[in-house]
Amino acid sequence: MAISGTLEAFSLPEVFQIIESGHKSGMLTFKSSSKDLSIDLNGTFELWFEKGNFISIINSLDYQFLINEIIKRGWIDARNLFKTTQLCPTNQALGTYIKQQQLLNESQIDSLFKMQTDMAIKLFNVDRGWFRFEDLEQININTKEQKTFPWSEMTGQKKKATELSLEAMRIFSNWSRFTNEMPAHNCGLQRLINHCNLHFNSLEEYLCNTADGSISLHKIAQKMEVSIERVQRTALSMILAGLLEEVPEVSLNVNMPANNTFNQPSNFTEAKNISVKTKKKSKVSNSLINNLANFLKSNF
Amino acid sequence: MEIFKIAVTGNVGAGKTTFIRTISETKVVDTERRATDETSLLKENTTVAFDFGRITLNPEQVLYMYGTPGQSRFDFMWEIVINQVEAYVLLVAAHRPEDFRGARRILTFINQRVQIPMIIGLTHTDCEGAWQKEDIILALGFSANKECPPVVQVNPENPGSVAQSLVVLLEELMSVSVV
Repeated sequence: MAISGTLEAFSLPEVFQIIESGHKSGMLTFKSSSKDLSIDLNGTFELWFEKGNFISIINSLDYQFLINEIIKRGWIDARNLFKTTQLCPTNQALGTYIKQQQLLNESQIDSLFKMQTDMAIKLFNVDRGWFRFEDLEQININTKEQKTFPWSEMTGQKKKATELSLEAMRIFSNWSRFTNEMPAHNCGLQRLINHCNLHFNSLEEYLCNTADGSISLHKIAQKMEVSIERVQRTALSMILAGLLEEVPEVSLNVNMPANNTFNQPSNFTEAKNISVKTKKKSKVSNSLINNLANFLKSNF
Repeated sequence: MEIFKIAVTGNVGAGKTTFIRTISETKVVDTERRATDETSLLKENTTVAFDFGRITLNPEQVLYMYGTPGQSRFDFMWEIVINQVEAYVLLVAAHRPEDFRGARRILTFINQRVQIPMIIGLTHTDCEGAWQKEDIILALGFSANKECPPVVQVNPENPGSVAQSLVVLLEELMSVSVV
């Protein structure tokens, strides 16, 4: 029972959230079924993750993306690169090895990894297709193989799955597919995690810092002087990333934080801690609980 | 008379009405009506107010069970029900990943209002495409950094399975102070 489904039922940001929060290592197979796709979105993609971090992407139409790209850019000639790949240890990322050999520098490796993340980001705009995430251990149990990470397609760099997801949603354009998911104007936001080290833009930062259910998206848009659609979309991106959740607005008579909240460090611990929870002490007697437990155990 | 009230909540089609019907000693008060919105794709009828069931233990003690409407958006009935109960069961259909976020939304809504004992009941775990318990927990927003309530597999049509899940809820209730 791998994590699998269709994009119509479960979005890519949600899949990425599960991979990161579960610190999962393995392969996310992704296949689009949209008809109007650009050529570079055709084929089946394998997105690889290590402990919740994105590490590589492979298109079934191009299994030597990294090598081809290095050659295409003229950074290492084909013969030399082929020789290098032969010498690269089997459990080391090719990018790391090439850098160690001083054949490429840090910024060149960065550039290659950015190409990989850009390719992954493009997939977020696909609205129809299916996915299947398989844990590396599970793959090996199921196939009785010793499948490992795609070392020859790895730069040695990584990015948090949720970080990548937020980046993708910042330039996302196909919002019509989320019409039914969009948080309402009059809803507030509730924080789902207490602390994170993601890099937020200013609006994301503001939404996090005010996410106590007391301020509607409509009021945030007014305060920030941005369109309600932009606030809704940013909020939805963070909801799908498992950072926030939509809740009905509650009245707490709080003053809205000033815009300079943006400059605060990007973690939730700086945020106000207003809670509307009331911790109810149970009024049920031990006698009732014991009698009910005995009844359930003996009668069903 | 001492009344112990619990809620059974979850998305449309998670099995709330069946859960209560299966174990209630009385015929469940039927508040189902023909679904006219997107719910109709899942089931012909849906709960428009709330289901109610009862188990009488003795002349002095009784369990009331309330099932919330399963609409995906906020419903004022949720607020009414959740403020009346001592504990609740969140039912999640394991084979419908599209409902996981709706379940998370219900969970957040309730947690925003009250802190009461709860369990997660996974239904349809034997259906094709059902996700594993660990992955559903992650989809509901729990992780190593966020403590997860007890999670049980439950077949709402099976009285023994429903009873077992209620026992787990009682154990959860017992783990916090009782008078």
